[in-house]
Amino acid sequence: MTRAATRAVTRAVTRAVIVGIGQPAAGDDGVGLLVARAVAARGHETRESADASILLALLEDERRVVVVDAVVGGGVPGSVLRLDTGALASGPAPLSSHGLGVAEALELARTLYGAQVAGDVRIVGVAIDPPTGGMLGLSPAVAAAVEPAAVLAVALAGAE
Amino acid sequence: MTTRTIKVDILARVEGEGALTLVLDGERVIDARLELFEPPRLFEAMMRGRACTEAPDITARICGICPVAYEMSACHAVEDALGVQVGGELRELRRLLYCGEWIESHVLHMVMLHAPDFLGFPDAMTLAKHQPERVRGSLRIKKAGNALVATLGGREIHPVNVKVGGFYRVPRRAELAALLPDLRAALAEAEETLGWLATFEFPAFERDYELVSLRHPTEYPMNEGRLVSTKGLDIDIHEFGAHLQEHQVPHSTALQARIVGRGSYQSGPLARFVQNADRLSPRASAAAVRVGLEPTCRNPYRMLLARGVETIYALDEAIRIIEAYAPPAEPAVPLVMRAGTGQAVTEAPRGILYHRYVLDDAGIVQDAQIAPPTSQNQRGIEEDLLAMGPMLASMSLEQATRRAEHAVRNYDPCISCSTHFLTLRFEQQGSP
Repeated sequence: MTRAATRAVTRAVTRAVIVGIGQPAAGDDGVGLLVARAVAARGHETRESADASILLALLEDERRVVVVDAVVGGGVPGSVLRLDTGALASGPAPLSSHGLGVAEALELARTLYGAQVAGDVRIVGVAIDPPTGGMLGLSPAVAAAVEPAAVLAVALAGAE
Repeated sequence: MTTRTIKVDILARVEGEGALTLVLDGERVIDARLELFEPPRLFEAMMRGRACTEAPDITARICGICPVAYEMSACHAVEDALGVQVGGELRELRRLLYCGEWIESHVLHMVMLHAPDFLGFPDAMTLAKHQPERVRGSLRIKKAGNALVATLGGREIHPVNVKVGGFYRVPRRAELAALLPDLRAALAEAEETLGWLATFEFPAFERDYELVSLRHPTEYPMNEGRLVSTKGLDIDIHEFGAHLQEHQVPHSTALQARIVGRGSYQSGPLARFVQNADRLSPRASAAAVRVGLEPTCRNPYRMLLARGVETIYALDEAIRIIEAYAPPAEPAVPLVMRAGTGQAVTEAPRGILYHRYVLDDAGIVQDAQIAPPTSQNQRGIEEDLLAMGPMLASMSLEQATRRAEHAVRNYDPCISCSTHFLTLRFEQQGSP
């Protein structure tokens, strides 16, 4: 069996892992982490991470991945969006190891592991206003989006 | 006066936070300001009135990249206040957890963030196109570190298994032994990676730094030791506040630290290596010799190599700990609450992290102080940039911006609130 065929079989039988990305000390930016926790409570396999390098490890292992992250420019705070990987803009090159973003990680995955691997990633975005500094907890509008975002993430994780 | 200003947005996605401003007058940099947002102040206030046993969990949220460092400093400081000693295998497990964080953090920084600067690539994506095997290799090393943190900490981010006095649950021998094949492969890969990093061209730049790190009687320092410097500082951690003090500066919410009577200082991989090279394992020591890194080094760009040597050390040390591991009878030392003040310094990947807690007799936190490594390194970073004035002034704005970013990256600054939200790209439909 070719590598590509093995990969296709592996993916067909493995449910996607749901990855929440966020920084809990930056207010609404942490929404992805809370969605991952809500999904984990339902028995789904999840990961939480402050940076997107975790996606590279999962994609190298040929896992199907659903990413949940906050989105700026995605409309009214609290809106839940299903995004295409092509819709993401890369940020500036980060100054420290604290900076690898989802768009950058997916672009890296495309280079390292092939376009097919990165193309399979599904993304759930929760619209937020740009964070202005340190704050713990979510605003009410974004907190209300945790549950619908969890439902969408689970639906995408189970879909072929 | 003809001046020009170079402004670099570090965290362009966080309004008003994280920027570097350089003002040049001819060949002189007349002002260098690194603006960082620093959430620890928020957490100091939050800790007041909370049980001291909550300190590791709460402060771990300060930073998603180095939660283990915050947990370790919090645990040691609270244990200091309560008069608790954590030794034997529990102490070794803490060291093992710290090895995991050093590996993850160092590798991500060296290869994905800093190597592109040295090679003239704009980012890791370009590096991956030119040298995919190097990037894949670094990700395998990082994965070995991730596995350590996930196995010991319960999950890769904000490990939930750490508590004051030890752990909630200690791993079985077989759980740790299962990590050995990947750790051994990562060690060989890290040696190769260091050899590659050593081929880079390092800008000729040195300063007369005061380098500060822990120094332990027998170990390369992670969790404990005296605080020593290259200019004669040699103090017990309980004297920290008398010698190292923080000051507010107008351009940053971060406090900047100075050594009383002298000035700025630097901590981190180079400071640790310079003062503890004789405590490295034979394998890490041999790696340092191979790449010509010596304790006399004062070139901040070569901190990249110190990070590489420490990665090898952390992998080697993790293997040693796992091979000798026998699970302790109890996962944690029992605690008895009492009033007191506790302090601790541990070595986060990017430098010394100080915690201090004042407890009442029920163990409730009355006061908390957290001095993260980046605020301690911040003034020294600005001084590096001031000293680079003539070099920067001779460059185009674009070149100078890149060189200044490169210099800041030497220190892998902990930008705690570094947010990673997605930004959407909008394209005009139907435009000509």
